[in-house]
Amino acid sequence: MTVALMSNDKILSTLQRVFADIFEDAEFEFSPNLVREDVKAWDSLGHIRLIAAIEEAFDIRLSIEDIDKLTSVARIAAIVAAKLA
Amino acid sequence: MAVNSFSIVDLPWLPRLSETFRAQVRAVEPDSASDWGVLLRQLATQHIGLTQAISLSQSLVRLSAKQPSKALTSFRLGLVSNATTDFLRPMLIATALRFGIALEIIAADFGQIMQEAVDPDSQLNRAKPDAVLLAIDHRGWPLRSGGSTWPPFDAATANADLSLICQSFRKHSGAICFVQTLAAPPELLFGSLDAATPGTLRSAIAAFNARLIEDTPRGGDVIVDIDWLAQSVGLDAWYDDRQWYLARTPFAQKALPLYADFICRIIAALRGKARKCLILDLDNTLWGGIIGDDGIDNIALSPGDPRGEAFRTIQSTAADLRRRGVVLAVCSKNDAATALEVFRTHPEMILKESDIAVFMANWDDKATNIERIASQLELGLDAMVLLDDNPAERAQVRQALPQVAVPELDEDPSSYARTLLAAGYFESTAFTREDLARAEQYQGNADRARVLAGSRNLDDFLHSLQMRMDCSPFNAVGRKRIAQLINKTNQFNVTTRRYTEQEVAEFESSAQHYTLQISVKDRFGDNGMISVVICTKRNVEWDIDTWLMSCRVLNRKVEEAVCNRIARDAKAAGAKRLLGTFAPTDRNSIVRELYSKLGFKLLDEQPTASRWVLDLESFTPFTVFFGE
Repeated sequence: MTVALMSNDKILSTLQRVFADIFEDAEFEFSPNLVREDVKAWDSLGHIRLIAAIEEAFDIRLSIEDIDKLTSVARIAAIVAAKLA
Repeated sequence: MAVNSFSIVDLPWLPRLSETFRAQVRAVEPDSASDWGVLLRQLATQHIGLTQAISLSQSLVRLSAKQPSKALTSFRLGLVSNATTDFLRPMLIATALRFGIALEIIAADFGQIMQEAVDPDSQLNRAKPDAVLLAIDHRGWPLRSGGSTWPPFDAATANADLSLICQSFRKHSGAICFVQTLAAPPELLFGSLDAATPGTLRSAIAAFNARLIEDTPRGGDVIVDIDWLAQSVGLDAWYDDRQWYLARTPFAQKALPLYADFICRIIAALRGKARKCLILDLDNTLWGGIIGDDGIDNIALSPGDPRGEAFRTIQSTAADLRRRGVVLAVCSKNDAATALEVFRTHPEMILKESDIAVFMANWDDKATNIERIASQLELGLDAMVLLDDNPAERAQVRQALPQVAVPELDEDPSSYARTLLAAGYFESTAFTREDLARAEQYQGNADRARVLAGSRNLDDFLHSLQMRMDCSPFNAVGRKRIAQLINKTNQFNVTTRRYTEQEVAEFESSAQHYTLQISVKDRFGDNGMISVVICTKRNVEWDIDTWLMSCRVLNRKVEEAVCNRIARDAKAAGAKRLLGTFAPTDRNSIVRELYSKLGFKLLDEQPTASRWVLDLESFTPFTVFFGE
């Protein structure tokens, strides 16, 4: 697989699918500007599910230090891009 | 994404998740054409993750509030844990649907394990659940000794705590406990020496488990072998420390569906919903190749040939299952004579013709044949598992007979035995003498069905069976099986009162009670213990508290013979009347007319129970067909 060549758009579209799956009934508009406070279901347990889903979707492993930084779609995309680079 | 291989955490025996899952769940309504319980059960019978589990568990709540489902059996599970149970709850509820169980979970507050157990007024003890799951891992037991000297770990206090917790729940709520073995984390202090050095975590966990395995069945509680489960997933994958630090999840999130399935199988087994019969396809399932095309000399079945060995493993697995009481049948699109010839003459066959209770080889569709097999064995379709390498056949059977379990298989026969066993269809919480004989008993059903077809009438048939009945009061030898029957029998059961093994033991020595355990033999085999009676003696009245019978001896006049026996013993003890209660449930309509059929008079009728009386003075024993 050519994950290493994944573009920023591809990362965002994959994240959109992940968000839709994890927070399926929540009302929010997916965009790079979306922050944790905007999504009601993105609580501490929602965060754990999100991390597991991101790891599976991109086949990466997030460190315990990365995890605190995942507070918006833009920051998640940046961390994922760095892992894939 | 194309997936080429599965590991056990992916529940490879289940069909993959349908892309329209969400829409299908939303479409389930109380007024759907089928019972909504049936629909949710079908939806749960695929590889669901936490997201799907959440929507299924929400649907269950939404639909049960409108109208209860007749297709689901309820079970109330208490849950205590040293870890987060937020994910576990929806996953367990959704997974239980896969087994036809409407699960209600009463979860204790985080970490309140001992308080919940010992306080008679605790939330769990007041809720009186059917069972309490002790979802506690090594971090929740006091395994670590204080101080900074050797040893850091010891199991004695933890084992004592566990006993106290189990006994307290039993005493205050009547619930049995599901007790988890511990999986040792993959970190070693010395290396290989940890195993042999008392005081290491690995040794302390081994000691804890050894004691738990000995104590748990003796106390009437049930072991959940998480040690095995974690090892089969791989300890390195099972323990995700990062998730533990972040959210106190006790094992990797990825293993949640497997863990839930593992627990729900046990609940299903306790409710009598474990599968009982394995139906085997032949070509490319029991041997490599197609017998009708390749011929008996060219099928793969020999040791030394890698393909042959894979099929031999499937056969020896089926033979082992039969040995523990699973009934085997064959269902194959084949010419019967050609197929039978392999069983009769191929020198490398492990399964013999005599291992197969019903042999169905013809050109009819599989669903029809499976219905025939079920009816000959007098087993429900929900007791059946079909092992078949052909994806089209599997799909047809799943569609036509959703009650039948049909494990998914990949194209490699070397994975079949493992996949079949990993699915846990034949889960059991006890192993009794009756289980050992069960495969023969059902084979006997098929033989009896053939004899009945050749008899002129039922009485001739019953006479020709040469039945013998043995009745005796409860005793220690029968205790386990009596408790099993009391807790599993749903259909022929007048009051559906459940008693624990401990309570059964108390009946043995109670002067106020009359008890019977009844077993039946005939010329086709030993049916083992099939009926249980408990009467409360009140001077001149004996009140039937419990009367149940296994449905495999229906239509044999066993109930008439048992009635004769109770009446005889009651009369001999000076009783004048026999009282009976019928408490209707959604499963026991088969005994609705029992008391009236036996000549009891209706005393009183309420929606929850009717009361019946038999005058012993005027009672004439029924004609029955048993030697004693």
